[in-house]
Amino acid sequence: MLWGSFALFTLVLGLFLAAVLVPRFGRGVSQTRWIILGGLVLPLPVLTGLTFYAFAEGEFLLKGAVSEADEVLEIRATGRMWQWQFSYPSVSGSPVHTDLLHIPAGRTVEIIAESEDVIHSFWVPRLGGKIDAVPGHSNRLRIRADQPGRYGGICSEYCGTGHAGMQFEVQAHRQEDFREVVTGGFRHD
Amino acid sequence: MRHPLLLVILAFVVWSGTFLLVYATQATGCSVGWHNDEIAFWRSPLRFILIVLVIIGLVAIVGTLAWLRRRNTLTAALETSTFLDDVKTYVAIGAIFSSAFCFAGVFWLTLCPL
Ligand SMILES: [Cu+2]
Repeated sequence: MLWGSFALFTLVLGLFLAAVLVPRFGRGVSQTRWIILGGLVLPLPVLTGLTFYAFAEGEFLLKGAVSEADEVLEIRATGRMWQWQFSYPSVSGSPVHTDLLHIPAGRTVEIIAESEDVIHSFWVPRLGGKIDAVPGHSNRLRIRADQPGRYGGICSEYCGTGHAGMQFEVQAHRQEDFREVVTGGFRHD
Repeated sequence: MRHPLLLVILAFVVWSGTFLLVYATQATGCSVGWHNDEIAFWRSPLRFILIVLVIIGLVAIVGTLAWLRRRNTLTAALETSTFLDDVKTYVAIGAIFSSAFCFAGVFWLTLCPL
């Protein structure tokens, strides 16, 4: 995905610079043809490919990633001005974590987004998901980290003066470490 | 109301209306449970409702194109330029393609979480 965007960026900017700097570049192609090639032939396959990729990923998270509904790990994410609290209903003895979300890598996680005051939005760009946390309502969102690691998350619905600082971190752990980390038995920093 | 610039975006206004209707119906249907049983062809009532809405939306946008074209021929003699008329037609054709592309998912995508 990164390399694809790099290639497209280079192509478009290269054409632009060539048109500006190289004398008579592109004159051989008519205006209409430039519009059709650059405005339809180039972007349509790219956007179609990305759309179907997104469809496939969505279907994978909803169905393909799990054979049984209980293989999905539910985590409650509660937004309030201006922090996120994460609790693990299915992991007994786990405390509430503030601004730090632990997930197991390689397992589909269902975030139940809720709010105590105003509308917030749960968003972890690298894990693809984004969903509004609306007071009095539970919205569900599936995310999945393939690799252990740290991923940045942020509130993406303006919710007051502290909105910009309403960040959290997602730590994806190896399956065997996950339970210990969540219950607090595992030192981490 | 008949400002030419408003008519340029008309087809995509209809597209947005269809989007809003489909999205709201999908969310409501999932929360009420219309996706749970199969009424025909192993499909749920929610899927049928969404398909009907998308077809209505598509017909409305094709109708918009037809109306714009008829209007263009009627007013062509009175106007100094037909440039905006061409733009309206192309935009409406674009709206038909994007409707077919964006809303086709109602036929085969999963409608609700498990
Ligand atoms: Cu917020």
